[in-house]
Amino acid sequence: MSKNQSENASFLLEDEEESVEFREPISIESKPLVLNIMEMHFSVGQIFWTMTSGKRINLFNSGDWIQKSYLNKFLKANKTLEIEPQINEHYCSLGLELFKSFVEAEEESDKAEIREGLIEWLAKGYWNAEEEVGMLDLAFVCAQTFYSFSEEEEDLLFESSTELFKRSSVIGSMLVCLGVVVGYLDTNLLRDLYHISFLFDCSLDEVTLSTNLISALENERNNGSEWEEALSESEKETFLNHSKNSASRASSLFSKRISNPGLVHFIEVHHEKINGKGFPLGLREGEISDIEGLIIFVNNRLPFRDLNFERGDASSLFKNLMERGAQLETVLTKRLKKIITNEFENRDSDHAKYLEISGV
Amino acid sequence: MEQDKILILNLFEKLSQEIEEVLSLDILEVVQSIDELDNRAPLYILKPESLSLEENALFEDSRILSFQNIGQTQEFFNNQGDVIFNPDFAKSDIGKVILERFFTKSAVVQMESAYEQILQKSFSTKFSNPLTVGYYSDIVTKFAHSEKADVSGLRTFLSAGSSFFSFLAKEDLGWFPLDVDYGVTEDALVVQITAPVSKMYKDYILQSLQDKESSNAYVGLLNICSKQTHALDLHYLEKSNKLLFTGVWLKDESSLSKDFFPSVLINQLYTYEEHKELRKNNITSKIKLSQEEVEVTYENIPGSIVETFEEEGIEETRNLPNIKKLVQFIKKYRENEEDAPLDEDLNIRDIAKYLRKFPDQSVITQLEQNDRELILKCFKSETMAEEVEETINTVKGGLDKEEFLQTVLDNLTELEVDDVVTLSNSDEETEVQNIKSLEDEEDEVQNVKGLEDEEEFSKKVSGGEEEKDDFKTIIGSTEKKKEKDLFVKSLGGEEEEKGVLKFKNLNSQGAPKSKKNQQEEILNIKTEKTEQEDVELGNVREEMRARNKRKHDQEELILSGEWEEKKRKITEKLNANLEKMRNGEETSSIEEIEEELKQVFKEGLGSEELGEAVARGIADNSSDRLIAEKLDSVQRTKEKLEKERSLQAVAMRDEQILRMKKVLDTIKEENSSLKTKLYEESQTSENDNITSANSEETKEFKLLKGSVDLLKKEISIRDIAFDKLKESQSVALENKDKKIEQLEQRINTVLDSKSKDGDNDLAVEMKKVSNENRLLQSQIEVKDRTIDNMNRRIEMGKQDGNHKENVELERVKEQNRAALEAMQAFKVEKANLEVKLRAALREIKQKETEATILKDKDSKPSADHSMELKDKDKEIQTLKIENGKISDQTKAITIRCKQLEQKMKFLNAQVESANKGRGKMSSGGKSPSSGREAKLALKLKQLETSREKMSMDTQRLSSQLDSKKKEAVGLTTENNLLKNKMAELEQKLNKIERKAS
Repeated sequence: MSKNQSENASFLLEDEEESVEFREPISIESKPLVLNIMEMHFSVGQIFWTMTSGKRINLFNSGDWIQKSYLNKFLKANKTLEIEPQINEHYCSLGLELFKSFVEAEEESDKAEIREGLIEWLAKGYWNAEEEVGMLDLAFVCAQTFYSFSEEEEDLLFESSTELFKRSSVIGSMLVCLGVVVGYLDTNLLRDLYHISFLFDCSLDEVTLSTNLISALENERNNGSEWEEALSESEKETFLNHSKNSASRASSLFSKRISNPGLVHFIEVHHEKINGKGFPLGLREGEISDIEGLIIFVNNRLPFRDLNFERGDASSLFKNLMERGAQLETVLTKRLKKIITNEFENRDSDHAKYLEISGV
Repeated sequence: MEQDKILILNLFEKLSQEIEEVLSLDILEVVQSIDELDNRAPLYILKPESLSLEENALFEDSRILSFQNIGQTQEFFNNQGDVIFNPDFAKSDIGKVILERFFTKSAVVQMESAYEQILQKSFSTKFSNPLTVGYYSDIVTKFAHSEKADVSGLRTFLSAGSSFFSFLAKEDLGWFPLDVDYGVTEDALVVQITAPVSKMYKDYILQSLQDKESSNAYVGLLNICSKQTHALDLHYLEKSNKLLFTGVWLKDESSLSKDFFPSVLINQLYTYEEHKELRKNNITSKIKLSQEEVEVTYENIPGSIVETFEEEGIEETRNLPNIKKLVQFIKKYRENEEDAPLDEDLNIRDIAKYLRKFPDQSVITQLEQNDRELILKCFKSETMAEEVEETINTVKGGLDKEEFLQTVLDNLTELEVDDVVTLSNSDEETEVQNIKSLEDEEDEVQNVKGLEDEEEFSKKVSGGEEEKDDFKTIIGSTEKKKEKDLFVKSLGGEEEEKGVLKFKNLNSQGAPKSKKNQQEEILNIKTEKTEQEDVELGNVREEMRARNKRKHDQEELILSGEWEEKKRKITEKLNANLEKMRNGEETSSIEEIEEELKQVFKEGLGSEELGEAVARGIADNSSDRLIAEKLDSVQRTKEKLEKERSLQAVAMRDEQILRMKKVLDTIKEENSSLKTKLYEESQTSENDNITSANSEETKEFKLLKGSVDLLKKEISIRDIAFDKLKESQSVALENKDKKIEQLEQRINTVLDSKSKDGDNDLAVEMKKVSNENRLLQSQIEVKDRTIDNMNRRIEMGKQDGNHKENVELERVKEQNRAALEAMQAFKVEKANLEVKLRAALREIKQKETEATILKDKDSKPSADHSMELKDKDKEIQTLKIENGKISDQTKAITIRCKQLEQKMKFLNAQVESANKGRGKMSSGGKSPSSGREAKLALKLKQLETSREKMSMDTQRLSSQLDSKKKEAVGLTTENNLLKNKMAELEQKLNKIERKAS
């Protein structure tokens, strides 16, 4: 009898011990960054081929999409390629580790914790400029984490619009990062958002993206209304319908890439403005959800042209984008400004859970 | 201003003070009775459940609100009911805001702006996917708890709400992520979920709002939500396709009366049927409407639970009236058919079978596959048949009344006594009966003759027609003027009949010849056919004739003789009506006109039954014809639009091509102008280099330049490529030069170190080197001269087109030779340097041996050592000076070399471009010039490879030099060591000497 009792007691004790199990906080540290060109989607610096004569041929500029088939030609011929990285390697490495653990995290609470780390990481470079960071760093880290277009899809996208492809990689990265800041923590959702950024204008380049249309995009971005001047009637129609057409093209051609087919609808709003003067729907601030607001904002903040990326060219990027720029008031909802600024500036432990919106 | 206000009809006798407050908003206009409406349609009607609303067109689109408990909520919501609102709820701030928001339709996605005035704290979280809703629900619940709000139902509300959206997402009616805003006011907790959705109908909501047990998990989800909150507010933002889903929990639960349940507001959501009606009322053009008309099929998608609507359009064709007729025909036919398959089991082949039974086969031949399918659909779905009917009615409603009446009149003038008889008999039922009985008999015939199914039908038709012809002769009427499709209900097979009639008609009226001829042709064929069939079908037709004759005989008696007179009277009356209408006195609708028509015929013919039948026949025919025409024009417009669209696309492409061409042209022009500029610049720099003797030739050359420029434009693209080649060459050469310089520097340093232990032999060698240098210089001078010669030859060659190829070839050869020479010279130079190095090494070895000897002599005094050393120092200094001179010379040589190389490059370019230009000029003899080009290219390649080889040599030599240098360094250090030792030994010697002294 007494034996039984003692057994029971120890059993209970064991149980108690188990329940007090202590979970260690997640710690993420940067590891030495190994840059493998073949595993890179967008170049982090100029990639050269040095000929036997000593002459250096430039294969890819900073931020260019690395076409693997082209690269393979050199590697098969046993040519040595060199890369001159323009990134902050320590910073990128930390970012990669953070995103890696974010993607791998299964528990929502872990994600929230890593989100904290990510916001801190972003704040250091892209808000407070404590670190020297460039567009390349952001694009590199996000591409390595989220990019997964197949070769056929890449060809489909790249053939017609090299310039926008490079731009899209930055837009996608900004969207994903701000998405995390605003509280969207589902990995698939973020991955979809990243890929959708490449598809915003995919119907414009169905045949070939003419310079006219690109300049129209740029004009529309800058002043909202004077985009039509350079376009012919038919181009105007193409332009006005491109948001809708891109969405349907995306759902027919890129459905494999997008896990949540509904998200394709968000492509339709990428030229909306919060003052009702965007197109095609002419939505107003009160009709725009946060995710749509982010899309409208990031798509409007980068120029439509071949961008030159340099080391450290984007310190305080988000802060600058949030605080100044032409037509800012037409693309940034008060609410997003409040949430994002708050997340970056008032770092305290509650932020993982509470995104304050009162007092906007 | 008055019109902008939102009109509300309040049928409650008394409303609570709070609600009255809301209703007193400026934007709202509240009236207390139907009379006060002044024929304006109220947007909202506030009505107690007990009061039933009278049928009134004004209320068709109104939304109904109740401030009392509703017994049958489903029924209420299904019949324009949108809001059940607990008046107590309006006592809270949030209740007022929600009610205001409903009336003013001013919902916004951002909760903080929606409840701006009353919200104390608000936060936002995201339900990114259905799997993680729990975690975020907890956050919201914990917040609510910390704010002392009632959280008992909150979690259930959130989970049922998100399940509701998951179901929508499953059917692609909505999708995640959901934005979940939550906050507190002074007296309540508010949670607002913003969900992106596709087209949203109230039906989706109502299905889920049902309070009944169902195996369908979707049913009841919203009901749960409504039970867990104090008020549930659903607001659809149509433009941006979002559903706002708000739940409110009052902190003081007791302020709500317990027996009132639930408070639900449904904003801007309409059932599918309502939506259709709304659309109808909003669209002015009826034709446009019929295009947009859609059919709903309730369908449970496999694996799904939400009942969704699939929109399916009727493509209206000009055959629509015929389709309607055919559907009616088949229906009647099937009623009399034995063992008829069920409507649901019908397939397209059955339809084809029935269609073959239709008397007027010309109608059938006009049908397209789509039309046949539509007929089938009409049997499968009642609504589809209604839809067809409705479309026709809509089009009919849009017909021009004048046109209609005119057509009726036209028809009337063409109407003959026998037609009237036919019309009066054209009851579909008898028609079908006729066909059936006829068919029975034919079946027998078929058995005997073994005829095919299809033939059988055509015979039947011709049989009917024949019968008519016979009838005609009996009555003795003279002429018939019948149009195509006229009185399709008549038994006769119109196709042939029409042909015959037209033929007559044309003869009498003298229609244009061409048309007549055509029709005659058609007729001939058809009559032939008929005759053939006559032979085969003699007995069947006999039977038909007899049958019809009996009927017609009776009515013919009533009508004959009086018809013309009656017709005249009716025509007069109708003409008078038409006149009225034209003057704008008559504004009745088509239906009214039809009704009037019946009256006129009844009076005119004196027989009610006959009059109505004839009137109906004529009216139906007229409207059908007009509808067909109208639909046809719609179809044509559509086709036209499509065509225009494709044309536009083609034009767009053309435009783009043109633009691209322009861009290309400008690029080309820019290229050529750049080329010319470059050429001019290079020309002037060349002139500086080349001796003044060339200046005259250059002038001449300038004259020719114009023509060369023209050629250059053509080859600009190749030139660019060549420029690139040039660039790479220059880079290669530069690299080589750098290496040479480095080599020299290294040699210098080695020599410097050597010179410390300098020797006579070394000096001699240095002299040798300088001699060689001089030699090299002279060689370079020779090269200079040859290059000058080449220049001259080039100029000559340019002037003398016939010898250009040779000159160029020679020049290239020369250049190559010169380049090779230069390279060889460099090689020699390097070899010499190597020799010097070796000599220096030898020197070092000598020193070493000397040192060992000194060691041996170590104990012996040697006063002359210091003297020796001093001498050596002097020698070293002289050597140093000389070395400096030599290095200066080598530098000068390298600079000269560089200049030469540049000159060579330029010449190469010139040759290449001139050659290409000429190649183009003599494009007739393509192969020789291209051959030359190939040769030139080959030469260039060889040059390139030799250069590469040389640079490789240089590399090799430099590495050798490196190793040598290392050796030299080692030796020098050793040398120094030895020297030190020597010094030590000398000191020791001195000491010993001193001691000895």
